[in-house]
Amino acid sequence: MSLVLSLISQPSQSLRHKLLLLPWGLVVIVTGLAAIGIAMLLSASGGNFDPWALKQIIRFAVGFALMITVAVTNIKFWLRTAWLIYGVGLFLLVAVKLQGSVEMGAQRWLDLGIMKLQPSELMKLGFVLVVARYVDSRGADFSGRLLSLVVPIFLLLLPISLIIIQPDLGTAVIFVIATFLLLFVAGLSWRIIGTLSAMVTVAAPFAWHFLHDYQKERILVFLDPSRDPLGTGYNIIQSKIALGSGGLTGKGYMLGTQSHLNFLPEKQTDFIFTMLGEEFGLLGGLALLLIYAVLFVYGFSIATRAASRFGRLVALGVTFFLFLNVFVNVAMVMGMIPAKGVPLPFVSYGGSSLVVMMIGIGLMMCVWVHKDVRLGPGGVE
Amino acid sequence: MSLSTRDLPAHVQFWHKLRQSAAWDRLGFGAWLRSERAPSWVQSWGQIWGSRRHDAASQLPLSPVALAHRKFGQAMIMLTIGFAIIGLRLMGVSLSSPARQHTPVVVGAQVKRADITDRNGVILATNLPMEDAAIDPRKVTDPVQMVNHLATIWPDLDMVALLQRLASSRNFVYVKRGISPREAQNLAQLNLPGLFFLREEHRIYPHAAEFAHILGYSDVDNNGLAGIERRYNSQLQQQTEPLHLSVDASIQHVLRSELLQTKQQLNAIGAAGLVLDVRTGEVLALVSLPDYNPNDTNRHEGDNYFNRVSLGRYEMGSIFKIFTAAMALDNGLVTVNSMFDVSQALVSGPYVIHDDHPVNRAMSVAEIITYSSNIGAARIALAAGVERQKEFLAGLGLLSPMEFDLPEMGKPEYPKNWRMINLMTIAYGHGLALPPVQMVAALAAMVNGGILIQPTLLYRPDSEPIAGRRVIKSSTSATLRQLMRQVVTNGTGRFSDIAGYDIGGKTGTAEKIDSHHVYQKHRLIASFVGAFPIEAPRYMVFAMIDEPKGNEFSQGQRSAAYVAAPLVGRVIARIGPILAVPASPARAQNVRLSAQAIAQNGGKNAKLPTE
Repeated sequence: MSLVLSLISQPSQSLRHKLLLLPWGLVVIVTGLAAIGIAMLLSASGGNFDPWALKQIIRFAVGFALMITVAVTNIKFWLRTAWLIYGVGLFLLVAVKLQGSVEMGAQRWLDLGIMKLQPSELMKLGFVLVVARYVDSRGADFSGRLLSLVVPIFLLLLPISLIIIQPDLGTAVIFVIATFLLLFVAGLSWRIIGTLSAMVTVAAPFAWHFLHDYQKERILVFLDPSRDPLGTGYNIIQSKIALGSGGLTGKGYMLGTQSHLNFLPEKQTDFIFTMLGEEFGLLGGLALLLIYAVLFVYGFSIATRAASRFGRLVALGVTFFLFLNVFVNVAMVMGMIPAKGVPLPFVSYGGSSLVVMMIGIGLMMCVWVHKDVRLGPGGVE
Repeated sequence: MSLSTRDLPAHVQFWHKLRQSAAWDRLGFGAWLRSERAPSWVQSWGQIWGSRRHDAASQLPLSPVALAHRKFGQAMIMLTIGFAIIGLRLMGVSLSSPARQHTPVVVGAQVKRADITDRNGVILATNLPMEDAAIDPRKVTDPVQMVNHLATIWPDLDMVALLQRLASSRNFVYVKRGISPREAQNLAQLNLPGLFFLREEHRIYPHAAEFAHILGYSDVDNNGLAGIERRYNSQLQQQTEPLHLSVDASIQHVLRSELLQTKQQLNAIGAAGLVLDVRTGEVLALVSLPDYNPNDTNRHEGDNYFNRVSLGRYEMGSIFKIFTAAMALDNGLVTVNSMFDVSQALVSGPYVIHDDHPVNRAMSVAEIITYSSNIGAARIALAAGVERQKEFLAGLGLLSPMEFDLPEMGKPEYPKNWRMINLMTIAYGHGLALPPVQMVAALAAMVNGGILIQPTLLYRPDSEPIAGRRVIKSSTSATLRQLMRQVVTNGTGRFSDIAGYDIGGKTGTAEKIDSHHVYQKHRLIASFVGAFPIEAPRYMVFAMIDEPKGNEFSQGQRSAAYVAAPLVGRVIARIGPILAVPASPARAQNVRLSAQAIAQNGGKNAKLPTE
């Protein structure tokens, strides 16, 4: 705790100064996205704050406080505690395997009493921090060498093997793609990416044996939807019908019949984008995507402006995870990729996702606030 | 970082031109874009888009930061492509209506199932082509509108239930099964997306509840679920020839209507009846009440599906005295004139056996049967002994499950440890419970000359040899016929006596057991079995009333003599002429009159001739 205080109160920048420096546009965007989510949750429950909207508001308030706290904390603190956070994330992933409560057929949640934590969400941040720190520590010799990938891939395999056995294939795939993107912007050459892709392609048949039956089935159904029009395919079919029935401008707020009549499964979590599409139409859906696009542009801008390599990679890492969550969720509800429990950031109902994603934005803002702070060997250029 | 615009890639040149263009100046943005006052992220774009592997001007490798920025740009392009893909896909999904072009589909799916007829070729079960209206929820654009449409056509449609089913995870939901082709045609013209029709053969039972417990029923997918439909399911699915049953629609109607009437009049909880050809084992009628309409099997209580004739097991009471007499007579232990003391109640350990109408003297075997003395029957059984009784009843097939054409078949229940008290009570029909049809099959052997024949619901052509097994001597059977005739002329069966036919029979009044195995004085099973014409019996009629209440229709009584005997008399009076049974010689002139009188008077007891 004293470490935290000493870092926050470092004299280089006063707290007041840091608050003034905060990218308030980002705060507005995040708040706007959360407000859209809460409005959709209200619609999902027919205008009632129970059972979802009120809880989501409380979680947003908690997340907001955490986001600002993280943002004004000295970035050196995050650099130093990166391994610790990653270790805690790993520990929680093991803990959830050992005593996690089984929900919806998968052990993904750890009951902390006040809220249920999904350690894989927290792990996203720990992973971004630790990869950024590792790449940062390697300095200029990182790029272009296959050997420099050994540690990041090891860092990746530890959490995703735990995530896959939960089982949560969707999050694991997001981790893999995010790692590739992160290493790419860290300087990895196309040649190495090509080599790795080839290796993955060769390894895929072996990995098939480690998949759960339901995961195999999902992939098979994805490749051939007519395999199972009633089961796994049903959600997607209903989702597409709902989106199609929304048309250009939608049926109006709280007037979406497909979702309100429970044709649409999981409308408050995985399929909240579908409900938005049904009630606000194509224009509503595109508007939401546009807001996300602005959010990502913010991420890139912050990364571009950051003086330290650590800061750049943290900002982009968070951006990539956000982007992949949005992409996978939206592609999923439109039947482009197999269905899985990937929430829409800030909008879907769920405490872990909202709070952790807001902490992620907090990290992004922290990079912005400390954009001129130079860190370590890789940060000095 | 300064960049010269020469030799830059086209898109970078474009970006530079855009930043430098006069248009921005005219709009007042130019200076802002280039100035330090512009937001830093706006300034940073120039760095992202302008970065190359080599600085165009100096030909020197770019700094690590510039290289990183270049990678950022490439990453952004990837993300932009990703977003463009989902954006385009969203447009495709949102603006295409999957069900706009829709034509109603009629899927031809025929399930053939053979007809079922009675012994005279009257159709009891057949198929009609009908349409099933179904919905594919995936193609429904507006479920509420669709349900509203359907509700205008079928006002009794459960709209909420249908909406819920449309929302469940299926791609196929039945709306209504078994609608007429015309109705389906009208619906198809509404052109509702997702609605389609299946042409199917539906099972129809033209006689409704009349044959319920014989035929059973089949589900909407033409699978037999009960009765003949279940027992001969595969045969009905495979053969095209109708299944020819032994039952006679006319006889069935008489038996059922009489049972229904008595059940209602006496406020009974149930009734059962059987008409059996004692020479062939063919069942001409089988009724269990309450019953159900097999065309609509959803609207009935569980008890309606309970077959009291074959599935129910009852202690049949005094009818069993016929078996006791048969056993003693056939073994030569007694003659009809052997005397037994019935003046004293019979005490066996804690049990006491007494008669409803005690007499203070000895009775002959004939009298014991005629007046139905429990003490007398018990004493006859004591003369025979446990082993002989067990052996005799087992010989009649009463101690093992009977093969029958209905899957609903109960198994006999009797004491494992057959003690002296069981010997005595079983002699008058308590302590052994069995399905009535099983008992009637054995009774038929008592009157038909002594041959036990497997009863059947299937038609037996005259040419087919009948498999039978001798269980008693022909002479014993003749003696039993005389005893049963005496029951009707002088004994407890008097109310069954009718003009036209000489009936021989036996009453049985049994107390039902409650859940604590205690006999209940006022919850009775009143039954009567009658064979006619008794001098050379062709048919046996059995009727059983479950818990009759004594009232004005039964002279305040609830015993078999007042409840079941007159019922059987009326049935025989009505079915005898239908079955073309010649009237008993001395009474021929009365047959027509008797049947008419019964038809006109609704079969009230008071109008029956009694002796």
